[in-house]
Amino acid sequence: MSWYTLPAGVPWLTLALLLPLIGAFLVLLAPAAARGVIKQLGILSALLTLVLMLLLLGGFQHGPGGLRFQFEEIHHWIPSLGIGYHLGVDGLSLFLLALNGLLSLLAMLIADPRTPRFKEFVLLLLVLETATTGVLLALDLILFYVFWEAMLVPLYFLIGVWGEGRKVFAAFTFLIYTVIGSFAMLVAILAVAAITAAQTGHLSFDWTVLVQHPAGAVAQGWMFLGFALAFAVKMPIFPLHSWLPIAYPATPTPALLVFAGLVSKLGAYGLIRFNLALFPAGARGWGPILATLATIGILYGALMALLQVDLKLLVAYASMSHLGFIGLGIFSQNVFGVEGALIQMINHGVIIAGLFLVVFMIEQRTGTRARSQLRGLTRPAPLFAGLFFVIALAALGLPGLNGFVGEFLIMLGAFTAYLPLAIGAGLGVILAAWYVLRFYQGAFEEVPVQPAALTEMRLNEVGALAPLLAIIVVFGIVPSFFPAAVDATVRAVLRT
Amino acid sequence: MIDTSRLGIDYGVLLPELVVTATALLVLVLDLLIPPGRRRWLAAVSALGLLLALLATVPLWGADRSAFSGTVIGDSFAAFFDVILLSTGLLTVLISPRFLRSLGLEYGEYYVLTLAAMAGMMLLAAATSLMTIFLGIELLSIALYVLAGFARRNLRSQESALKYLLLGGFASGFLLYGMALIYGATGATTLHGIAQFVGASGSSVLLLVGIGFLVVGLAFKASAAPFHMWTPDVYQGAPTVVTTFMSVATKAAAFAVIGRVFVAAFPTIRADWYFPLAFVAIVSLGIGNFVAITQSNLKRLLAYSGIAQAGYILLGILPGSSEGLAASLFYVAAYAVMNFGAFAVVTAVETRVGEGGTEIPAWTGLFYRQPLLATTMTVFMLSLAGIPPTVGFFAKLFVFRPLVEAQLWAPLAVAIVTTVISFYYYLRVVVVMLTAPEEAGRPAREPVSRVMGAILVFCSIATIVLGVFPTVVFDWARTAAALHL
Amino acid sequence: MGVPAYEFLWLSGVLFTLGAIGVLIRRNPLVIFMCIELMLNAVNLAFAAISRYLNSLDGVAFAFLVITVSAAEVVVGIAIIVQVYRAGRAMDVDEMDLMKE
Repeated sequence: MSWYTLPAGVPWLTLALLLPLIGAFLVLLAPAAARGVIKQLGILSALLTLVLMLLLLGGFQHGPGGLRFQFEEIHHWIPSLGIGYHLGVDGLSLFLLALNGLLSLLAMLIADPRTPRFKEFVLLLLVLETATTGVLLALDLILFYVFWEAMLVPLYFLIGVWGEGRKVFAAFTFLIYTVIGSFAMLVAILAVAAITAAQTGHLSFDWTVLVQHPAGAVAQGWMFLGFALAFAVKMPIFPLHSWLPIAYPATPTPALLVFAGLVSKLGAYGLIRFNLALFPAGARGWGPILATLATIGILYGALMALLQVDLKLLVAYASMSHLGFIGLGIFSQNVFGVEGALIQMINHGVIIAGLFLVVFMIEQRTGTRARSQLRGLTRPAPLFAGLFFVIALAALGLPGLNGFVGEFLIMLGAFTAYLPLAIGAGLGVILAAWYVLRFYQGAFEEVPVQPAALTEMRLNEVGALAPLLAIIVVFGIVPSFFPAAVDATVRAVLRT
Repeated sequence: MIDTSRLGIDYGVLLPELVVTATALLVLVLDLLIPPGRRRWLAAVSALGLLLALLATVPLWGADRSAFSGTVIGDSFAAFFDVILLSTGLLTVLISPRFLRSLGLEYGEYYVLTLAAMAGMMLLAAATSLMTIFLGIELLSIALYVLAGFARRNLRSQESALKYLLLGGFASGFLLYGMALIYGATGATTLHGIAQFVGASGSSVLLLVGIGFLVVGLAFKASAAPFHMWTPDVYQGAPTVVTTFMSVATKAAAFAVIGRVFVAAFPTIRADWYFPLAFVAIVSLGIGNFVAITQSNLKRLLAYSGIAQAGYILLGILPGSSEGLAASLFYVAAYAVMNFGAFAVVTAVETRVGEGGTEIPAWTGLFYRQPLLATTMTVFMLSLAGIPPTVGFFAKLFVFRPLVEAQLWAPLAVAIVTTVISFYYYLRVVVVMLTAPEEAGRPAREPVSRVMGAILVFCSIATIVLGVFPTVVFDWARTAAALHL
Repeated sequence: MGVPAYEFLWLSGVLFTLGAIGVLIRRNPLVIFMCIELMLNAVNLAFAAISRYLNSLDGVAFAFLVITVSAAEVVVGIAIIVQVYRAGRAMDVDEMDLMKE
């Protein structure tokens, strides 16, 4: 079933890739001084992309279908090596795609036109959107890798040029970590294609072909490791996280929304799409180890979040802790865990973007990001404090808000797979409540440090938070919003 | 035993080389007739000659015409390299006049020597005998010795010419001695004869020592480590247009020989030459990428990057398959586009700023003074680093793939680790260009010359277009790599 | 027939080694250049000897080629060395370090 049927024969997915690029091209042509026009162009192209993605969301045929991809496009690219231009959407990528469009639009909305070199800034944000969209749509492994790597360049420059603090160092640290992971994945991609070619007689990098011809268990273990390295760095999974406290605080907030909200989720997406689907034997071998690491990440991230004074770092560690949950769900390798992880990916993207936005607004008002700045927010700015409270409650997984469903399913999955780890993760939930409430409690009590600075939310700021809040509330009340399509895909990936 | 069909005189096989040589002679004569103020026209004549030569390569595609007692061959392989070399030469000739004028070096001999070097390089691409290989190498080397010292009043240029001459002569000695030993071991000087002998009788100590010496000589010309010592000094000292030409064309020509000799003449004894070549590749990757980090002069940085790139190209030779060779050929083509572009930007900056323009600090904030130069340079740096969607990415991908298939993990691991390191220095250049300059007042924008601007845009668009649609060039490379002797 | 072919090869090997050592340890560019010529002549000797031993003319032809080309190289080489000398540089390659970093 679907809400409506999109006309066939239109390359919808290519269009989704091209829209931000066209916007980037128009921005390129605009004079650098016309900052307002540039911002409008950026918003317009991001908005159109989001509309297109919502159209896809509505036109998606929900229901049992297994590994059937929709809106598929297949063209030759480098036929002599079996590399194709293969795009498609399934339950794994559908909602992330919409999240991608939403966060990119938000990034455009809050981008400050007074930023130096604003033209290049918007340009890079749009290029980043094309790259992240491509990562979600690509079904050819080389095509996927191209987008995966292409994501690095805009992020690198956004941090290295527009960042704060030790920005070049931060950009390099992030780059070196991710590139090491990426190359491990590249070798694994070449290996899995070579092994499958030996079975089938012709070389292909197509996911739909590779998934039907699993390699031997030992080879799978190695290739699993190659892919996992790339994705675990991006998420990040403990102990590959040490770039995170360096890179996140240095990233300018508009880019950080996409970076923390979506790019980290792309790592989790890759784990399901490639590691679980292509290497089931490898996943059985490595799963317990990675699930353990993910659980350590939950606790480590939560404890570190408790220690932070800088709000941006606090949210960064909270994000790491949440991603630990997602990792645990994925490596539970049962329907509950993986579906929970998928749901949590969307919800966490929304929540973390909301938290970073709040931090951004505090910083804009007071000039610093110290936790003490939140003191006494309730009195001068009740609306601000109220909206913040809703996001904070969602972050700690309160039932009735969207953070709960995913976490609950993940815990359910973890209990069936690894009981001790589930207990550890439960401890993480308690810690989450602790650090979130500590984060927030100042808002109620005491007198503000800079009372004059804590002004009420402006309308455009409410506008930026509104879609996130809507999702937080609606998905919390109607968790069955993630329908059968996700379920079917997850079951197919897990081969259950 | 003697195959008479291979003895024929067939000038068509050498037509591109002949056209280039004739153009060189024509320019030499015209130089005497043209008044000194109009030497730009010599560039135009040279460019025309190179275009004609490009046309003359068309009949060689898909051909298999061995001629002159099997010393040269006209085939797709030769044509592939001819196209790369001629395009590089053409672009070099086009960007030269303005740069030479800014240094007061507008002499007609420049074009004659460039064309002579071109003829030598193209001969190398067509050579199927030790004699023609030697002739080609010397023809290109002697012309480049003079070109390196072309800035007569510049001590660095003189010093670089002398270093190139002495080390180049030294390397020629090794190359020749290697050839003598191979001749002694196999009794043949044509690659066809050598391949037949090796195929029938296998290797011998004499042959292996000969191959070792040959590797030394060729690695020197390709500026692969550990025979790279001359490269940074010569690249830095030589006039930048010469460096541009040399860094791209010489390397391409050297790899034409390496590809033909190792994959076509010695395929049966791959086990014997694998280790020396793998050693050269690994050391080049290591030294090139590590030492480039410490450089503060862009020409030296690009010199070390070129050493590393030689290592990547060699990786494709290692499996000894035509798949690998095709990857190497694609890499050479990619390298030609991106490295020419990078050096052309250096040339353009130097034309404006003077000799200090090759120091990295002089590039601070280039994005705001010269957006075109900085943007195109960014494309070339990303491509050299191998980041999609640029041609450099596919070059690396194609080279890595045969290594995975042949399970040559050690060179692959080194290549990957050093590539990660290379990101550091390639992207540092970009960050420097993006950093706002300290001084408040922006220097006035001097426009880049129209020819240079057009060439830079062309090269950067080619870098990206080939990075999105590599198929056409890759299929050419595959056709070219299906070698017959 | 007199001296066997491999004796010539030994001699050429010794000459080549002497030339190579000379290149590495001498400092005067002119002397280095002469050492390179010595290496090339060692090659010529090897070609001639092998040619005689194998009864093929290829080696002799190659030797002629080497002689011709090295003559051209000498012309260019001497010109460059003279130019450097006239530019006022000391004739010692160890002191050529304008570009060391």
